[in-house]
Amino acid sequence: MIRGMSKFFVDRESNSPFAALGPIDLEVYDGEFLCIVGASGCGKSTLLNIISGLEKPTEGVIVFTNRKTKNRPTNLVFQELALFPWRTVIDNVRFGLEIRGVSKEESIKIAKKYIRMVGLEGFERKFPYELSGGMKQRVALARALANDPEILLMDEPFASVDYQTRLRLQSEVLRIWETTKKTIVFVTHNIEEAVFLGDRVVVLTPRPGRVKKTIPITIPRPRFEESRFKEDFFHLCGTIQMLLKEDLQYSEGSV
Amino acid sequence: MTGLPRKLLTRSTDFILLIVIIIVWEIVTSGLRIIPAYLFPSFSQVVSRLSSEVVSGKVLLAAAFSLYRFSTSLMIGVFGGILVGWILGWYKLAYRIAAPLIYSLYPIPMISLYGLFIIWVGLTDQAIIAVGAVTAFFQVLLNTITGVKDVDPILVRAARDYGANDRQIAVKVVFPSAVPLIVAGFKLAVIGAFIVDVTAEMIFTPPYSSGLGWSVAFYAFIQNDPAGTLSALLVLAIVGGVIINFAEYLDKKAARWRRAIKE
Amino acid sequence: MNRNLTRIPSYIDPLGSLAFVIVVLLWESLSTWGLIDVKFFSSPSAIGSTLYLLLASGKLWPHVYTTLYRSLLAFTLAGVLGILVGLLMALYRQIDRQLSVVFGVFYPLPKVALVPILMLWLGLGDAPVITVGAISALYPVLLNMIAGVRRIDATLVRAAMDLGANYSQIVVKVIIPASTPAILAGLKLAIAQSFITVVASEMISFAPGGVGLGWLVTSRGYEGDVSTVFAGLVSLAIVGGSLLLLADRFEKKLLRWRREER
Repeated sequence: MIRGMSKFFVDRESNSPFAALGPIDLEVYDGEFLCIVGASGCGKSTLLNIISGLEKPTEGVIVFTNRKTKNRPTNLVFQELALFPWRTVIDNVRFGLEIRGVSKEESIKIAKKYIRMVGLEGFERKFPYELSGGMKQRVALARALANDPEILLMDEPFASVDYQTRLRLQSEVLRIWETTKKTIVFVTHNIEEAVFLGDRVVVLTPRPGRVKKTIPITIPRPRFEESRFKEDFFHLCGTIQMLLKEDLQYSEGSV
Repeated sequence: MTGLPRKLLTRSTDFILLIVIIIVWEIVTSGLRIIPAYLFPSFSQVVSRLSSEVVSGKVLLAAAFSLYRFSTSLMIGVFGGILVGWILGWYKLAYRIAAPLIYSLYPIPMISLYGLFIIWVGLTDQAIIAVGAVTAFFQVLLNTITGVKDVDPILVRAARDYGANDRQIAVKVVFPSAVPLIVAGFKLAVIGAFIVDVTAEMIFTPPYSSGLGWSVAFYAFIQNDPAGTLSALLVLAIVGGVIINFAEYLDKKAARWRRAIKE
Repeated sequence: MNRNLTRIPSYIDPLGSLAFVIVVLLWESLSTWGLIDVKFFSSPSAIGSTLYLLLASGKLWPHVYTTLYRSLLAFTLAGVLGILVGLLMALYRQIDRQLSVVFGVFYPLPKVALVPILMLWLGLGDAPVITVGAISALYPVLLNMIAGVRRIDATLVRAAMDLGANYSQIVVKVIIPASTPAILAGLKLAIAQSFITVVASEMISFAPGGVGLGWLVTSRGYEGDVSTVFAGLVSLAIVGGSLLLLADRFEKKLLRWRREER
C-alpha cells in the first residue's frame, strides 16, 4: 500500500484585496474519503480549483508526496459536469487518455471498464443529450476515473439531481471508492451527504474560507442506507450543523 | 469584430494595420511605380480626385439621386411589408395561401427581378425603385409575419382573460411584441434595398445621369478611369456606412426594448 | 432572424398548393383570353415551353453551370478563409482589433460595386465575379466564427485542462468542435450570400455573349424577351432553393449531437 500525504497551505485574494480563502493548512491522507462542507460562498469550489491546479493560490503551496506518476495528480468532477456534448459517452470518458496519447484500442478498453464500473454499460455510443441527469453524473465520474488520478476531486457533483437519484449516486460513489481505493476530496453543502460519505469532514467558514474544524466520522464502514438513521449519524450532523450555524449569522444578514 | 459596424474606435492603435496598408499602397503605386498609375492609382491620387469631385458638386448630386431612389424604395417596401406581413401573420388562412408563393420567391436573388422590371417600365428610375422596394418589402414581410405569429400565446391568453377584444389584443399585445422583430426586418430592408439599388444603377449604365452606383460603373466601363472609380467607391462606402450604422443603431434600440418586454 | 420562416417545411400544405395551382391557372387563362398583355407578363405555358426548349437544346446548362460553380467556388474560398481568419481573430485580441478595422472599412460597401474596378484589373472572366462573391460571403463566416468561439462555455475548456490538454489540444479538440454550430450557421448564410452576389455581379457584366443566370436575366430583359426572363427566374429559384436545401441537410447531419433537451 502506498502511503501518500498532501499538504496544502492556501491563501488567495481577488481583485479588490479581500481574502477569499485562507490561510488554510490541510492534510489529505492516502485512500481517505475527505468531505468539505460549508455554506455557499465560503470558497470550497475555489479550494478544489486550487488543488486541481486550475487556479493558483496567491500564497502558499500544494504539495503532493509519494507521487505515483508524472501526470496530473488530480482530476475534477465539475459541478456543471462539463461533458463535451459533441462526443459520445465513450469518447468523453477516454478524452483524458486521448490527450495523453494512449492508443485508441487501449483507451477504449480502459474507458469501457470505467463505464461498466459506473453502471452505464450499453450506453457507450449515446450522446450526452440523450442521457438523464444522473447518467451524465456517472459519465463525468467515469471520465475522471479513467485518468487514474491520485486524488479524485468532486465539486458538489450531485447538486443538480433529484433527491432519490442523489441517494443512489452517493451509494455508487462509495462502492466505487471501495473498489478503486482512491483518495477522494468531496465538496458539498449537504451535511448528511458529507457525513454519510466521508471519513473526515472539514468544516469551512465563509469569508475568508478557513478550516473551522475537522470532524472525524466514526460511523463504521461499510455504510448503508440504514446508517443514516442511527444515533451517531444524527449526532454528527448536528455537530456540524451547529458549527455552520455560528458563521451564518456573521455572513449575509439573517434570512 | 463584435459590434463591428457600430462600435466607434476604442483605441487609435487599432488603426495601425489599416494605416500600414495605405502607406504600402501609396509607396507601391506612386513612389516605387511598381504598378502603373493608369491601372491602379495611388491613395493620394484617389483622395485628390475625390476632393475635386466633392468640390464640383458631383458627389452631392450622385448621392442625392441614389438616396432619393433608396428612400423611396424603402418607404414603399417597408410600408407594404408591414401591412401585408400583418395580415398574413394574423390570418392563418391568408398565410397558408400565400406561403408557397413566399417560399418559392425566397431563394431568388431580389436583384434578378430587375430584368423583369426593365421589361415592364423600361430602364428608368421606376425600375430601380421597384427592385429596391420589392427587396425591402420581402425582408419586412418575413420579419413581420414571424413577429406577429410568434407572439407568446400566454400573453394573448392573459389579455383575453382580461376581456380584451381582437383589436385591443392586436394593438396592446401583438404589436409591441412584434415591433422588435419588425425593426430587425427594417434593418435588413435598409441593407438590402441599399445594395440592390446601387447594383441596379450599375446595370446598363448610359441612360442614367447620376447616382452613386452609376458613377462607379460609369467611370469604370465608359471612361476606363480607375481613379474616378475608386473615389466613387470611397463615397459609396462612406454613404453606406452612415446608412447601415443608423439602421443598426435602431435595431439595437429595438433589441433592448425586446429584452424589456420579455420581463 | 427569419429562422422560423426559412426552416424548410416538412410537409406540403394542400391548401397552399391548391392556391398556387389556382394562381397559375388564372394567369394562364388571362393570357390566353388576351386580358393581360403577353409581351409584359408572358404565360405559364410560354414560360414552360421556353424553359423546356432551353433545357432540351442545352442552351440553359452553360448558364446554370457557370452561376453554380462560381457560387460554390466563391463560397469555398470564403468558408476556408473565414474559418481560419475567424479562429485567429477569436483567439488573439490584437489580430481581432486590427483586422476588424480593415474589414470594417469594406463592410458597408456593396461588394458588387467592386466588380467594375476588378474587371478593369482582371478582365471579363470569372475572376471578378468569384472574388466579389467570396468577399461578400466572407463576412457571415467570420462574424459567426468569432461569435461562436466567444460563446463557448468556459467550463468545457477548464474540463479539458483538468484532463491534461495543452493549448493546441484545447483548440483542436474543444474550441473547434464546440463552435461547429456557429460555423455551420455562418456557412449557411455564406452560401446564400455568395449565390446572390454572384448573380448580381453577372447582371452587371452586361457584355454580349456573357454567361450566367444573372446575365441571362438582364440581357433578355433588355431585349424584352419576357418568357426567357421568367424561365431564368425559375431556374434561379430552383438553383438557389437546392443550395439552401443542401446546406440545411448538411447542417442537420453534422449536428446530430445538438438536439437540446427541453
